[in-house]
Amino acid sequence: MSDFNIDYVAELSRIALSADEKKKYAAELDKILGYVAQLNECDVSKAEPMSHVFDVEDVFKEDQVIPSEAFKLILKHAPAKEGTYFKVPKIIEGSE
Amino acid sequence: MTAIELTLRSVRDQLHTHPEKITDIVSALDQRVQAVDGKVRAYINYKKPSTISPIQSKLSLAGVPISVKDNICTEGWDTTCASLILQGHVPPYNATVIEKLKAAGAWVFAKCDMDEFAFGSSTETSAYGRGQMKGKAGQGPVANPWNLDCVPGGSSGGSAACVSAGTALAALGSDTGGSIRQPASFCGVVGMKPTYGRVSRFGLIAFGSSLDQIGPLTRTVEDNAILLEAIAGYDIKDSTSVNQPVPTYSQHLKKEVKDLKIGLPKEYFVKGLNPEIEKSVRAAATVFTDLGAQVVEIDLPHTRFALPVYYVVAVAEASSNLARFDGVEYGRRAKAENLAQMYFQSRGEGFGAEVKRRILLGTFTLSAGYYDAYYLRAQKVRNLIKQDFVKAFEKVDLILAPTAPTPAFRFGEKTSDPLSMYLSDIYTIPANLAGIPAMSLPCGFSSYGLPIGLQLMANYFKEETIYRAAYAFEQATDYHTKRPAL
Amino acid sequence: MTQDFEAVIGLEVHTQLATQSKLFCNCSTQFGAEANHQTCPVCLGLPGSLPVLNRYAFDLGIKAALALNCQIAKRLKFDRKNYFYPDLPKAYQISQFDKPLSFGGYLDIVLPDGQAKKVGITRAHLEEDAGKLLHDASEGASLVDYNRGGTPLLEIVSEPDIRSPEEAYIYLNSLKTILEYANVSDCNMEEGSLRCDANVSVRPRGQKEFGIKVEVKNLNSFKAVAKSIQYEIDRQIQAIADGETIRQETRLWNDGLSKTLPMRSKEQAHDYRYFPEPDLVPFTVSEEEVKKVLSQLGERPWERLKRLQDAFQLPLGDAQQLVLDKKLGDFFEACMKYNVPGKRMCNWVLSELMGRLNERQIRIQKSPITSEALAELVQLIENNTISGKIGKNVLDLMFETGKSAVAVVEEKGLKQVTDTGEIETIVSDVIKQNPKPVADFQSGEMKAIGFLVGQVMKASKGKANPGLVNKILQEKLKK
Repeated sequence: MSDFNIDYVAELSRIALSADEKKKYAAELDKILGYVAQLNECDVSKAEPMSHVFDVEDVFKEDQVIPSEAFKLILKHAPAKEGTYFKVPKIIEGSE
Repeated sequence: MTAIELTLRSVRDQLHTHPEKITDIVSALDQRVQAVDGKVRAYINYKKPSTISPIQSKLSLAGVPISVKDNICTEGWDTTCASLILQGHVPPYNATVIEKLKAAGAWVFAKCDMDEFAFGSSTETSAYGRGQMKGKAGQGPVANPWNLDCVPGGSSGGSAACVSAGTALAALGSDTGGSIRQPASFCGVVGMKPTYGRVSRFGLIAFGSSLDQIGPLTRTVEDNAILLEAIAGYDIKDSTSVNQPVPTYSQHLKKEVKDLKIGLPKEYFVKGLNPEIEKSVRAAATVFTDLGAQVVEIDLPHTRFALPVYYVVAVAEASSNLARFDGVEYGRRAKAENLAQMYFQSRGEGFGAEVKRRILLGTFTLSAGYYDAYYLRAQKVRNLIKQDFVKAFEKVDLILAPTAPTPAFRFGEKTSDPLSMYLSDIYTIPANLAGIPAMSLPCGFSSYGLPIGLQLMANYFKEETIYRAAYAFEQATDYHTKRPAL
Repeated sequence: MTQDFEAVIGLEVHTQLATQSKLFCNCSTQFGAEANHQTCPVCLGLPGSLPVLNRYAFDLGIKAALALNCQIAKRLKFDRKNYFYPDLPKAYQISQFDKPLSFGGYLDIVLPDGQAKKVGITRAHLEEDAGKLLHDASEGASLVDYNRGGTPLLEIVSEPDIRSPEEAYIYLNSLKTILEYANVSDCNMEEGSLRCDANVSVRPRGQKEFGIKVEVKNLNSFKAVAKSIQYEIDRQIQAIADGETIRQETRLWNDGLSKTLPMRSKEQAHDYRYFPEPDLVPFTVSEEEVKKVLSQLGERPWERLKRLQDAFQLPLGDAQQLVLDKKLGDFFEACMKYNVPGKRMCNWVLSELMGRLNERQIRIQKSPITSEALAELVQLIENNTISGKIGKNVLDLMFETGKSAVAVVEEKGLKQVTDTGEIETIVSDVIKQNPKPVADFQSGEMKAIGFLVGQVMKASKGKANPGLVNKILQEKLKK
């Protein structure tokens, strides 16, 4: 119906799912996508996509340095660290 | 004095002249928490405040305690979004709204339970409620103070319940598709979703970035106006916050409503709307005409597309916003032998079912080959929904509608069918899509004694119109004086 | 018969824009701080944080794009590029997808044979940098430092107009020069402020369709870029000759082995799920702004080339060297503020100073000898206080001691002997002590004078003015 490929999407989302979970979610999401398909009944030929509520443009900040100590508390509670580095399982050759 | 009789206004006024009364006020609140939160379970890791900072009575909200939804960052306090994946996350900074409260002299009384990552309409998805995380006064999800077998609504269920139960003077929640208004209607309190950009999102853990807003939940309209005044305003840290001055909402409540033209959107009064709710809302319309306002029927022709648009746009943004929860820097990391496993397991174990559903759905609608058919198309339909409101507000000042299609439902009633749960937000979602302000306030009770809420929507930055109409309605009725028999 | 192949190369260069603070937050961009000390909730990607665009980065981006002859977009926006990697704290990079800052530019280069060529620039857009990963600093683990995360980058994508490794090398050097002159970036590959990936494919000469392109990453120097491209061209041609189809893939350059290697992971094609960044508004650039920035571009490299040649009578080769390395040119022009002749000063900068700096692996920006100090040395030679030869010793001593040329000459008593009387005395002695070379010279062996000059210089400890020595010797030997 909707071409929803649970394996591909779970991979892209980095979420581990058991075979049962995959079945369950695939069925639920298929149903939801079926509901969402209503959007095809809407005539969008004259509509521009809306990314923002207002037509505000050009919001900037100045190029100034303001030091922050935020890293101290984050490192304190980090899942794994070494010195002031965050630590993750070893990555070989620059990719997962 | 029981806490539930207090209003933010009365406490604020009292503390201005008698700052020492803070001890009594905190005791009263704590007593109420001890008495009922075991049954309502609105709070996470509640502890009676031991030392209260000296009150500077010159500040506008000096000494006033506010309860805060657990997706709003509080420096040094755990902020978990009721999710296992953020277990133990302590933000090193305060959300802008918290800084503004502090600058006004207010302080954070407690953190409120919620649907996990704000995905939900019943607060049943909370990892605390599901027993995965400890920290609540009782086992189980947040309960509706009017009927402890019923849900408080969601996702700001804890915020609505504590205000309704009297364990808070006022609370902050967040609203992406109705998450302030729907629980406000279920719990019989006043809940306001401001215009998009009215209140800073800096420090609000993001769900749908183009839809989210923080807003106040209170027992009275006046309290709500006072609290919104304190938290609204331009923030240079939020590029989407709008640089417009904040009116003194609480000073303009007592104006007439005779000049107001109020629209009833015919698309909202269709099959699926509980007949008692329809009756209450139509009765409310009569109250307004009695007050001198004009009530007319209006058209919002693209209403039926609002829910499908939301379940593309909001979930797409959410799937991207939640990708940062990967176990690397903060929160919970699963045991893993390699990086890939770390990602997959941390997220597989850390997220609940509804969160996974929405991430999977959102990822799909953005993925290669599907972007145009889903996301791009939904953004176009969203614009048409917005245009419906723009056109409507050329004819009327306010839109009057139900907040939710049903009163509070029982625990477990909608958890097996995600779509049926999503349909709870059918009347609230359009305001988020358009970005207009909207409020829910009590307008009656069902035959089972459950609160019914009416929704008032206004044009961009016209919160004061909502407040004045809501105040007039509140004062002309007595729903706001009713209390749950906890 | 083997087909004649043509290489088709495109280069993607990321350059760090020279701002004080990051692209979306107020953390410093300075290189070398302790790990994670230059971070904040925004660039750490903490939940609840939001980006706000650095106006100066925006302006520098426009300036760089104009220096590259690009068209600036009237309206541009940012998009999220979603993928998982530990150096990306939000698991998405804020970049630009379909409405970039600029497009449709070109870079003029000069090929080795002197021919001019325009390399097209498809686009140049703004994006934030990722953090740094260290893979060899911890046992069984990789370490992450987010100091670099959030630094403003300009991604410059060339058209696939490049046809050889040499051209690529020239393109990169020219690009670096243009960006340096526009004052938008330090362009330092060692510090990572300039990075390059290459896209390489081959096709039979004359064919219009492109061959399958392979992306090459992990290139840490311009030389590595050229070497890796040559390797890839050879590899692909060989593969085709062996009847294989080229796999569209990303390969990593291994400098140690001098080859490109396939990445081990199976999933290489990323589905980035680009969508407009909801936390940032769209941006506009007016015609007035473009005009203003154009007028601020300053001296272009070719303008400086002409000016150096005209103002200081420098030969083309020398002028080119001074132009190609902007900081070197700056150093030279600073020297020229003092009363020294152009050609001689140029020699001392390009040969003597740069030779010694290169030996010590010091860049001109960090030269311990300032332009004022070097100019002073050259002045001493110009006014005959010392000879050029002694000058070289003095320069060595200046490096060693950190003292000025004048101080060194004074302390070591290196002043040139120009007193003709003194020299005549030494010359007479040398003539007396070396009858054979004298006789050789007087009987027609012109070369013998060299030995005698050497003896005079030795006797005077190198301080005798060589010109005078020669003159006096010639006079005395004529008799």
